[in-house]
Amino acid sequence: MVRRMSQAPATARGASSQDDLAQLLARAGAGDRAAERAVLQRLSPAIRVFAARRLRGADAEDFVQDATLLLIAALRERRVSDPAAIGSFALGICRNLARERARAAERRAELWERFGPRDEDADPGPGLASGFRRVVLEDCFAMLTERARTLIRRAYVDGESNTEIARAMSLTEGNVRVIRHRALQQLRGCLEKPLPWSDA
Amino acid sequence: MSATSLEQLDDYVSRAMSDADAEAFEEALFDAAATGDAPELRFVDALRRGLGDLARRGTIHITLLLSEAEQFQRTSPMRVRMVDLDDYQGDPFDDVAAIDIGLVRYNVPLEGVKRVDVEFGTERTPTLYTIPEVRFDAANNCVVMCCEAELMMATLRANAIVRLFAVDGDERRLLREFRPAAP
Repeated sequence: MVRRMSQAPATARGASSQDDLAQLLARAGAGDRAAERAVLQRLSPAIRVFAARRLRGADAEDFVQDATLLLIAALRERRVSDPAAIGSFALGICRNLARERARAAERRAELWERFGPRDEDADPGPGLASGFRRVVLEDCFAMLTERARTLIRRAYVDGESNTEIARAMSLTEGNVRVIRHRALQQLRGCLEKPLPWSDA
Repeated sequence: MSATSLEQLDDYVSRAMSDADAEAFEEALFDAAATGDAPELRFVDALRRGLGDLARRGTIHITLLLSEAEQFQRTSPMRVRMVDLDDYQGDPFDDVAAIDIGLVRYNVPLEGVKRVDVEFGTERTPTLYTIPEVRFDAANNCVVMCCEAELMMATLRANAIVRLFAVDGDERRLLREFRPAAP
């Protein structure tokens, strides 16, 4: 039976404790690329939503790439070994980067020369680009109401803020939030189920 | 505060959350990400990326007006094929493996219609699911559905029955039923 969301790799799924994270960090620092990818795989979603709140399109993608490269550099140089601090460390990278965006292009070129490019390092997401099978996401997205589809697209593809969406669609900001929250719950429920056609 | 609440993540991304609250939220968010205990974060992230992927390919649009579909077919870098089920002879999707995206034109009388729902089912399960409120082309009396070729193939393999309904308030009227032949 086809599951709608891909499973995380064993390295990420099994290691949820601080001890396991400490081991991952130690192995990553010792040059274990699989451990490095496992650490990145955990933190990448947070980095991407951090960027999504602040930036749109290619700017957001550039930001994620920069933050990821800085994190890779820190892991390889063993600048972070405390598992309890890795989240704050990654957040610090993001915040610093956000403050220093004017200098990002210069830094990126240097980092790419030193540490890149390797696709699996820069984009440690599982399997498909998103983690969802494209066809299943399309199927689930189609089942939303037209208004919910529009709200989700504006927020999650176009990067519009709640305020911008409410204004554009002549809705209150509260209504926009409620419709979007319900739509997300519906999508999550749908994406966890098998593709209807697999049983048809 | 849970860092992995779907609603909080949505508020964060959509900037419904204030900057002050976001700053505190980010601490919890990154900690949860680091410990691998953030399923909602992974969901939101995957959703954003997946929808972006559909948008780049053009299949985030469930239906298109006929003129939009024709332009999409001309300009998309994907292998796009439009099929008019009334005109096509034989198996409409015999070469579905050679395309990326299919545009399926359903000709239906749309005069006076306010809303169209498209229902998918099979002989065994009459209603598998419904796509509500699709955009339709009243001027050309058609609904052009846009979908990934893989999804098209899945529906064909299942011998999907497609029914288009006109909806007005609580009233639902069948406009037409389609039974495309499976390959």
